[in-house]
Amino acid sequence: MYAQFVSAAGHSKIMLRLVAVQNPAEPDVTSNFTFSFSSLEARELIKSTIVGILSGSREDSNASTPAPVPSSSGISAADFELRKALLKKHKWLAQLHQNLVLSGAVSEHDFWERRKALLNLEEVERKQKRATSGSWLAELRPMHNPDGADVKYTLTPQIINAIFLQHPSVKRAYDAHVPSRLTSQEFWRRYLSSTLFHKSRNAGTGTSEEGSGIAQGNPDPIFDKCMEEDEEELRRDPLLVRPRFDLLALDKGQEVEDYGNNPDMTMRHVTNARQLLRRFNRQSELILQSGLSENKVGDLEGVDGREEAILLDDLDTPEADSSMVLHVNRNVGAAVDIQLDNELCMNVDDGYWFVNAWMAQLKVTDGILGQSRTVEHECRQSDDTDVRSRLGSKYQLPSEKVLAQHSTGNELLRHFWAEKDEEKRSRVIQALEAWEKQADQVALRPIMAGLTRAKKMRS
Amino acid sequence: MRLNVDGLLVYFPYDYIYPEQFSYMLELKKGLDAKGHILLEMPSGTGKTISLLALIVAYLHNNPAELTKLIYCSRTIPEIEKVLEELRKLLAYYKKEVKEEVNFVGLALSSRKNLCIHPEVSGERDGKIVDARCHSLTAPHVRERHTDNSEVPVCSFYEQFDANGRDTMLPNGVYNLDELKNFCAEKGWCPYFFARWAIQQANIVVYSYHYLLDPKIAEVVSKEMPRNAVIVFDEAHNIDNICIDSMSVKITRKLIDRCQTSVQTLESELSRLRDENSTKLEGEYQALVDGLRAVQERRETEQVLANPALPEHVLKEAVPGSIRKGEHFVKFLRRLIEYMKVRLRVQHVVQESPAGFLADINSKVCIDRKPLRFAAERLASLLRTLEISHSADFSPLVAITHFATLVSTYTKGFTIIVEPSEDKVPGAFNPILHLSCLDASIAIRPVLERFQSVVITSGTLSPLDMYPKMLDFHPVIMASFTMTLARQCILPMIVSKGNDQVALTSKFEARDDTAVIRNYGALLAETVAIVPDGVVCFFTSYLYMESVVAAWYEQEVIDQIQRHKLLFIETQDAAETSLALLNYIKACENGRGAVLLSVARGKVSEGVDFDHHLGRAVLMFGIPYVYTQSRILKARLEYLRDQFQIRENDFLTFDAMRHAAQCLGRVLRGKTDYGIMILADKRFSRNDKRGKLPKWMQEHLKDSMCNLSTEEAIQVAKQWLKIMAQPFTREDQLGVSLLTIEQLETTDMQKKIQEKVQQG
Repeated sequence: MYAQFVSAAGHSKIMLRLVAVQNPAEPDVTSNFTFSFSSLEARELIKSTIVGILSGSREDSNASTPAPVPSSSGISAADFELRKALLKKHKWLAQLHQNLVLSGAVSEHDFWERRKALLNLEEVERKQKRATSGSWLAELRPMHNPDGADVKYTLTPQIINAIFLQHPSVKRAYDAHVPSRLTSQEFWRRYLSSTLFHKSRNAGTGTSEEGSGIAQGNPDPIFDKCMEEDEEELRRDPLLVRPRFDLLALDKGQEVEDYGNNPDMTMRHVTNARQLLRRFNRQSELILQSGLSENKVGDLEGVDGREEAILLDDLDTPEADSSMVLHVNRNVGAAVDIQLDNELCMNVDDGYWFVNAWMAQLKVTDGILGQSRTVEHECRQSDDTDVRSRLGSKYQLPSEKVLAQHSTGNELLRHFWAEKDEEKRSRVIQALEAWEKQADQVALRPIMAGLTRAKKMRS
Repeated sequence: MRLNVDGLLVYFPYDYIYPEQFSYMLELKKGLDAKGHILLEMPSGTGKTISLLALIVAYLHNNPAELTKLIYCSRTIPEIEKVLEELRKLLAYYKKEVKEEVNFVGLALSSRKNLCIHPEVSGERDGKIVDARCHSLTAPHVRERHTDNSEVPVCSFYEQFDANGRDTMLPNGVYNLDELKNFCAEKGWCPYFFARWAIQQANIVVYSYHYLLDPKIAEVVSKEMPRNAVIVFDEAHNIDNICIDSMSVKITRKLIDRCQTSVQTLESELSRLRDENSTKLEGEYQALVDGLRAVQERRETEQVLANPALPEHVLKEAVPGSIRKGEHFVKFLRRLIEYMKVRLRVQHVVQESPAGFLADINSKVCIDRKPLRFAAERLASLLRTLEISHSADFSPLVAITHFATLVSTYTKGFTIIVEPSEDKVPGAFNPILHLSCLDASIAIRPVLERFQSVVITSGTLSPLDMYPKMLDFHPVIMASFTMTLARQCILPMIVSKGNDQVALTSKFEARDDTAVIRNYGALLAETVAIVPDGVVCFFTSYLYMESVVAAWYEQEVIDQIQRHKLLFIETQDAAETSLALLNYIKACENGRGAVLLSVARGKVSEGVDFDHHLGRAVLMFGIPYVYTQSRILKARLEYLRDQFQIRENDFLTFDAMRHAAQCLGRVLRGKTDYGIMILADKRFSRNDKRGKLPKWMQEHLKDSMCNLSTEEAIQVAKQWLKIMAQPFTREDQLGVSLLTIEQLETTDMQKKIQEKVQQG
């Protein structure tokens, strides 16, 4: 899908902007191309040419979305999407990409080859079905007018959707009544004044406000029926439960309440509390099910949990374990915390390597040496997401620039050692030399040392 | 691994062992050798069941002359099934290691409701109805009639079993309820009666407490069990209450009304029989002269329930003349019912001793103690003679005769309380008469006297000396084991105040205090924000939970909680609770995370384990005291004080703390598991409360963790969770909390284990 924008007729600059939407499902992901022209005629010419090309290509391949990436040699549109999304998401990656790929030191392919894990993660994340967020449960709370006379509710489509989800019966009622007998507004007004609405609402205050004249809602034929249907719905629910958790399977004698556990006379039943509890259970269930993949909804896990219930796994000799213990030295926790947003997504060994390098760097950077412990402590104490910005003001942490330089140099070195092809190697070395010129000598000493080694190896 | 437990070769179906498991077996072995009763406390989730089974099976295997049977009592069906599963694992290991076939048969017995495979009867949901319908198809007279007239329906499964089932031995192996049903379905036999027959033959029987403790059922089911058996009561922290329940009777106005109709039916049945066939009644009369039991050529299907209490020698006596004749007995029943009706007409609460009651009934309606004692047996005999198959109609009569028998048999340890209104609906006139057993030792005494060894064990039996006092017995071994840990995998904390320094407490005066409720809410909201996966909360009572949740809703605490986790709540409806629980588990398993709000002493707190990700934190809001205004409880407290020198407060605290500990212990299973335990009530930090927590919890409850504010607790928990999230490998544990056979056999370790046992 393409859109074009032209500058206004009398504007001093003659421009054309093309907006390409890769995937109609995601209208937000776009590519922009802006051109400026010296004359109006030239623009019109280009415009008509583009229209011609577009209509032609549309006839050619109506279904498939083209992947107009000049540098991509045979990657799929999906891959391209992933890469673009990643670059957009991680600023540091974008910068690295710019420093390495766009400068020509490393090829696009090589660059991503090292980040397969990251791509996979992104892909998985995209594929994963997202459950409803808990926020739609956010209560519909009344806004009281300052004069206190009337009460105002604001219904957004989201809230309406939530109501429909919670009370399927209201949805049914809505479908049955709204276009024909009631206007939507009328329907909702009646809903808000109905007993159904107030029943769950007043649950909390039931005891204190009983009889104090607070609106309990008016009986309303439509919603009273809904209420009954809701009740009915709560009552059914055939159960097929794993034996381990079947609470009904208590053996004889359990029907009798435990001795001494007689109802507590010191407390009074809260009106409608039961309704409230049920509602929470129901809501949570709905959210849960919205997150489960289709075939799992309603599946009450046929797996019998008995065996796993008795197993004490640490008493058994483990089968060969496929997982691997992180080489994270517990003391480095702080460093990892700070580094998280920067390079978390690299694979495990990379991460380890990186952390070590960074620690080494920390050690040579003036003033940091003695502080690293304190920093670590601070990090443990707080779970702020922007630890760095907070700590940065307190301690002398490496600047953004140094970090960027560091990761660029780092990446280049890695490419150097990973590369077998001589030609590419020399390209990398050139890039490294260029990098060396602008790099901050003191802070990046470990990488410099690496560079020296690389050079030695070359000669 | 093969273990040498004090000279006994024990096969243990794992490659590693916890040191406390070994100590546990050692103590158990000593107790079995001494042929005495044993009381053992071992932390939940340290493999208690498998240790028990491994040792006892080895004992049975090696000393068949001294010990012939293991009877394992558990509380719920899921637990029974779990025990059988462990047993299966153990026997499979035996087969592998010993190579020869070991002759072990293990099976479960449960009620008809759970075992019936009759296509129609098994559809019933109510256990009592299943029993009654089963009885109407299998009673001897029904079957007799069937032989005359094939129209009379009988249960083909029972007939098949009766014809062939008794010749077959159950093949070696382990049978849980489903397998038993399958086995029998194949042969066309009735699983219930087959199981009842097979438990006499099996070496290992797993069933519910009630089959031993409730004299009415025990008489029918467990009568033939040999003396040299070992009885295990697992999860026995509540055993005193079960004992008491099984001996108590409640009589309501409704029951009396139903009695009156039943008695009428009984009378008409009686006159019908007298007209039709008076020789039968004659025969019964003669037999009753000889003594009750002499008549009874006992058949298994005959009785639904036996009498609750009568000692053997009484049963050999002749039935008193005044109730020997059927019609006299019916008149006697009428008088009894009439009297009870009058007694229920009270304006105020009346409390009376059984002796007082007997004197009163004698003076008012001229009923002696002796016929009262025989009432239950006499009714059973009459129902048999009348060939009544729809016995459910007579259950009110059965209840009232049980009451009569109990009240006239025991003069001590019982009390009668008549209340004008039941607690459930205060104010309404709904009189109820409780014959309440106060002495837990009455029900368990026959078991303790009859069997060679009785093992009482649980994760929470602290303080240990309370149980021998309450149950009135002298254990030869009494020990409590702690948990050896390579890392601190439980984090108990007492949170006594909120961030605004308001004291957290569930005590009566503060129940409605919004400040306290708000602070509880803040505690939970902050906990769910930092704890991964599942969080379980326990409230002191259902009503308290209701009002707290309602208040949280008002204070928008619920919204805060829902931002982090899904919310599920136990309700009074079992089906709904099951569903909520299932969804809770699902939510934990797929990573969404959830909170479960439930009630101490409730179904969830007793029946479900929240191990690993199902429960990373458990919060106890308040101290779960029993409802102390209950008159029955008051009577019991008084009795405990007078008879056993247990002070009221001690007992109440003990009772509250064992339930609290039970709730908290749910989060841990195995040593790689970990969980936070938050006790949110300032009263927990007092010594009398703390001191009653199980030793293994106390050990990890540092003094510095006993008076925290919400904020402090959250900080501690956060740091602790980080440490716990680090990889924990077997190497970290080995030699400390986990042993290989070589490590176990070093003299050093043996010495350590010996020392530990002595401390316990």
